[in-house]
Amino acid sequence: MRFSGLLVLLFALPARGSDPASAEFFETKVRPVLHDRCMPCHGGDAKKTPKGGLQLTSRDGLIKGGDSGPAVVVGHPAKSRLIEAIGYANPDLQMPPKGKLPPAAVADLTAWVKAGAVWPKGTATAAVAVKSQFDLAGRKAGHWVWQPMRVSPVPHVNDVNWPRTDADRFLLAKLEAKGLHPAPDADPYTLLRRVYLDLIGLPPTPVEIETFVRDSKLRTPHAALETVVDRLLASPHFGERWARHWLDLVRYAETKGHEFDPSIPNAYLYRDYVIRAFNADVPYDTFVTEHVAGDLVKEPRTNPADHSEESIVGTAFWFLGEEVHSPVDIRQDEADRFDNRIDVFGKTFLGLTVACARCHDHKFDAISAKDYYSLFAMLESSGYRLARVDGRQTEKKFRRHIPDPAPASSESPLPGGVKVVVDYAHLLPGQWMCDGAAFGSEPVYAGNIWMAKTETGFEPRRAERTAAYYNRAFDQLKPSPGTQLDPGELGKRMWAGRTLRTPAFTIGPGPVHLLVRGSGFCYAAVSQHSMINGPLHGKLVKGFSKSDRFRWVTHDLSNYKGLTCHLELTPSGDSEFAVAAVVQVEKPPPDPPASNLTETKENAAIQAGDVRSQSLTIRPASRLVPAMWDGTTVKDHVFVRGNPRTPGEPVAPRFLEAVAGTAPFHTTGSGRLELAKQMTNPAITPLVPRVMVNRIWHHLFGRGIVPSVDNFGIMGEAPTHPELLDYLADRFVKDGWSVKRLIRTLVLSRAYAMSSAVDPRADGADPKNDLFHRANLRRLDAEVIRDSLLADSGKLDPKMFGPSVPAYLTPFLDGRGRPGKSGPLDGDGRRSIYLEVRRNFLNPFLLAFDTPIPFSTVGRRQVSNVPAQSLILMNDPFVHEMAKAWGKQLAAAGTKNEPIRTVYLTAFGRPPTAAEVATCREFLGEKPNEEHWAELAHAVFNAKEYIFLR
Amino acid sequence: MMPRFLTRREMLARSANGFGAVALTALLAEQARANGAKGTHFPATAKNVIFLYMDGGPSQVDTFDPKPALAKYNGQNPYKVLPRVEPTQFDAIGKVLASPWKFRQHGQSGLWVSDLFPHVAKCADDLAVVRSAVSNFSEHTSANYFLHTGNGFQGRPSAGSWVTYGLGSEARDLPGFVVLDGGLIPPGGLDNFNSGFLPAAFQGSVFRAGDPPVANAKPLEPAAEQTEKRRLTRRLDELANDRFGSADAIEAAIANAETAFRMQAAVPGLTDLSKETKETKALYGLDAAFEHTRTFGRQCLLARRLVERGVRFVELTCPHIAPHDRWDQHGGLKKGHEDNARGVDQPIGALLTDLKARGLLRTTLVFWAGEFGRTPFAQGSDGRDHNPYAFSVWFAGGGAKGGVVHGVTDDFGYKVVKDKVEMYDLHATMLHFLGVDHTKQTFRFGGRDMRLTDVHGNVIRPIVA
Repeated sequence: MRFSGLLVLLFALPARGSDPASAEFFETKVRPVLHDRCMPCHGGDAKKTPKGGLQLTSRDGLIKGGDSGPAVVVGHPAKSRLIEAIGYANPDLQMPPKGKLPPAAVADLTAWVKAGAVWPKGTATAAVAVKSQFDLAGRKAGHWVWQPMRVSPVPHVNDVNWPRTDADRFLLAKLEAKGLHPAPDADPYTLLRRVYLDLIGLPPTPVEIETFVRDSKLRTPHAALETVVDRLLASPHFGERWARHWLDLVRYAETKGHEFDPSIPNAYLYRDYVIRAFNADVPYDTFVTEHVAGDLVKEPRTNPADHSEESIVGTAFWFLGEEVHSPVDIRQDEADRFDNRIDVFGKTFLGLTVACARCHDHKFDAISAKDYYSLFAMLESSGYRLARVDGRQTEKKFRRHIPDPAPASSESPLPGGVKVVVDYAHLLPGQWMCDGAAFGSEPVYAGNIWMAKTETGFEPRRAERTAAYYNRAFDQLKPSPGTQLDPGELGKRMWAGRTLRTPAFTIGPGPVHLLVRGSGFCYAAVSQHSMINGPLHGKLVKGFSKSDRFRWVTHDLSNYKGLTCHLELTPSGDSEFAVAAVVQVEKPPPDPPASNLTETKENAAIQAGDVRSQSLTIRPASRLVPAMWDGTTVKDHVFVRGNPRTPGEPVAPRFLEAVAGTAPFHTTGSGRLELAKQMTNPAITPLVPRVMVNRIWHHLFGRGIVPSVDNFGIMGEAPTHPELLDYLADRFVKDGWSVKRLIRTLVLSRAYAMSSAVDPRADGADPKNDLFHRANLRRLDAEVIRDSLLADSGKLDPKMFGPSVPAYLTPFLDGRGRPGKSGPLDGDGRRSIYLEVRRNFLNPFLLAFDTPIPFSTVGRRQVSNVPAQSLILMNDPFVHEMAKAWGKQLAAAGTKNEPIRTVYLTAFGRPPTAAEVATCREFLGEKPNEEHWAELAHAVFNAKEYIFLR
Repeated sequence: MMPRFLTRREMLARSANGFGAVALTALLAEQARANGAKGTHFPATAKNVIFLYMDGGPSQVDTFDPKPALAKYNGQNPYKVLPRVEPTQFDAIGKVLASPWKFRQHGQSGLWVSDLFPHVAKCADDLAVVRSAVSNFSEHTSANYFLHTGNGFQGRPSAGSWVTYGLGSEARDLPGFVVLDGGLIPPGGLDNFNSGFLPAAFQGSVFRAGDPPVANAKPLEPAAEQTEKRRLTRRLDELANDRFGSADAIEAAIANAETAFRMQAAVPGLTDLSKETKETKALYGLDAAFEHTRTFGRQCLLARRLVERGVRFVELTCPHIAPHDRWDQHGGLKKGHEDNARGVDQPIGALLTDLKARGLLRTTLVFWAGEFGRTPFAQGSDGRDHNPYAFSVWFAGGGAKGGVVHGVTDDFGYKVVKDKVEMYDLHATMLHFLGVDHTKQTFRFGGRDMRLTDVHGNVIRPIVA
């Protein structure tokens, strides 16, 4: 069998990293051994001279050697003292002294010396044990990714007729240098199918195909393509296709996984936001800013269709990860949650494995543990909320608490000896934080007027003390119908749009006491934990009942002593509510004396009328989206070896040192907006445009210019066309960060239109197609396969947006948190992007065809080839159903209009050959009925051409 | 991680990675044969693994770690008698609770086993009990992920995935990593058995008691019709082949379709127990009065049949014994543990006995473990809360020493005092029996060479025969 022949071949190929002359071999097999086993004595730093004068931190050090001469003679292990020492054969020269290296390590070092002791330039190992030895500057200087964009002139090419775009010229120049030619143009059928599946993820219909081919002949193929491309870019399906690529990066899921797989409330709003953003061609720098700090932008973007706020929805991506409902070690849990967020953030936007610096400085890249924990502190200074997206803009304009001419009363000060968390009479900058406008824009000062709600309306009262007063006009806030709330305790109250947040503080000593009036709830967000769903943390929510005077209420958080926390306070909704102060002290302070201020009727009409008219403009119902909520700056420490219990150097929120230096953000909050500004300023760093341009290239050409699209670091793969990458990145920025225009240029290039057919000569010279001498053959993405099945069978419902179609549950999808009811087998005919993603019940069809498990950024999907795929296409009831539906249509259409041609155009995007028509006819028989057609359709779905893109 | 584009050479590599198979692994078998012992770093003592997963966390002090001190201090305040009491999941710490079961010594070795496991106890001389296992997590899901994947969060490859990735499978028409679902998918769900960043090929395939036992393995149409359809598909593929320039990707995909087809036939043969003798069936408890003994007995028998067919890694989940919530006895310890043990004891004893009689125990590593242990003090009055600070697991066969105990806990069985064994060590040891050096089996993902044991792990040498 031919196949087994191939198999034998396969095992002759060297495994990754097994070539001792490769940099990778050095990094994985040699450097770690030198670092861990040799450098503790032969590293050397400012305080310590290396033993025996031998320094093993660089190739030069090895060759120069120590007191007894060179350690390595390149190419000659037998003459190298290093190899002799680790061989342990000479009793007088045995290293490491405490024990022989494993035989494999000895073999690796020997092979490495023999192969030339390859040590990538500029990557001397930092000496161990002393932290100052982490050579950030050296690493930064030594790796291309940290360098500014270098825009080279478009290269000269010999074949001036071939290129259509500058990208073509960059590619062609390299090919010509190797004496290669680009592959011929693909035929129009192939090209059309390619551009449809790439841009909208749906196949062209037979009519669209025939029209295009006709148009290609009438005008030029390129002119015809231009028309099609513009139409596809304007299609709403474009956003659906490209949003799915994006969702892979942000580990999009709609549940939190873990034990009971509870919902991430209304995560679909984020999915819809991404689709709209791609369709509206929102500039990528804006899109990035909204993800990082959409809650903080000065002028948020709104959705023209319904005036809801867009920008804040971007921040939902931080909260799409897995969460533990009731962690016993809440601080460790925070460390784990944030690690995932930093990992996704670093890979998605920067193409860097920032999270590798969690337990130590990055092993390879210019990223320190301090960098990691600076971002960690930034997340600690933020927080989670379910935010209203409807009506935010109107409410923001609310004017509240008109200062009243009445003299300020003298209020009793806070008792002495307490640790003040917040005193609304003496606020510091940045301490006024409220979600929505329900507490206005500042406290009501003592003696000024606040509005009480009575049976007849609003009545002015004098404030007996300075406090944050809740405006009961906001009692009417509620979630829109169908809106999911937080699981567990938090979901029982309406927090969104009327919650006050205290500054962050360290818990203890003594319980927390709140000076409050009226009734409400207080939630203590310890270590930013926001899923109060278990026995352990049920005590973090504290309710207090009605009272018409200020009194102290105690919230005992002693179980969480030493941890960072902030409080969120919300009214119960059926009574007044005001907060004057929060303190920590052992015993509750005595209640302040009752107010001696009399009620006032001054300005009553104006005030009451004002509140009333305001209340009419409130939009009561809103959809709610998981979103960031900025707090006060939290300073933390490096966790030595990643352990939260071993604090190291202090950190404050800032960006990576290699990009933006060590100055912390200028902020009283998290600094995320400043981060976004730094990220999207190409003068500060070219990472963001480079990474995005490369992702787009990857999706269109089947491989990134940097193949490891999520990792541009040392351990990633080097760009095959660095000049092209920077050229495109620069152009992208100058063209207003327009994703659509970049895609347009690329798909209209000559390179995109190349055939994927293998030319043996070119394949011999460029077997991995590093030079893009032809198009890459690609397996279709899982979603494209499923969507094609629906489209071809006439079962596709093109409806966009909205809550997801519940997951279809086979008997094999079992476990805790399994929904009570299965969704429909065909997902209501909706595109795959609208199918619910439940972390613990992932769709087996999509999983088998490599839709990633949503745990971290996956910019480059696996492409596996497994029998489960064949089993699905053969035996899955969904596929059968689609075949039947199509069979019915084909049978109804009759045999007049070349039905087999229709089948081929629909399924493969091309007309059949005579032999193919004959084969199908033979299978169908003389008078095919619905079933025969369905069987043909099913056989076609199983053909390999169905799931591959030429 | 592999690139997405499909050059000829990359496709070859990819096909190799496709060989484990979500569902089946004939191709992998061919790979393994073509390749000899490529996957092992040194000679293996075990070829297969059967992982008996005790969902919920059985209590160490009621099973394999006898603690007379518990009887002595029964009913006393743990804060007074223990040096330090750690926070627990339910924060309802009761009094010190003596074990309701007697412990006896068994076999030549005199290994201590409680009366919960009379059948397992008969195989005492085959067991290597590790009393000093610890976990990093007190919550089921994190602890399950940790036990299965070496990491407390979703998205890492399961041990079974690592093993099939490294060694392939010798099963021609069956997956290399099979999960026999006794009725309880553990907290954390199917991701306990997923391949994480490894290719989908190495996912665990869940086999259920129903028909078909594995997803999509049963044709929805008469065999003749399917055959005819397949013939057409094959012909259409041939006719289109030139368009792809005989790409290896396409050929590999065609080959896997053939495997899938063969798989359909192999599955019914696997689950047809009619050829097993009456004695064998009785041994496993297929005629037992207790329904759950019958369920788990069938699972254990299937496990043996899977191993006979060359399946590399078989995991068994527990039967759902209502009204108990797995081994997770936060209350009603006595009845709960008794019922759970009644469900699994006879079948496990039978599995060990049967494997041994057939000469399969020498090359089959049986691993029994929950995700953590339970507290020596009560939760409320008659339950035990989660205890990650010490618990007992055991190995049998496949190169493990028999009748030995490793590790020591304090007088209460609460915390380890000697020879602490971390999850990484258990995984390292499992791989070691299979001939795999856990530090060398790596897969590049997100810029790192990932390992089942991360940067940790030591083989538990004293239990290696």
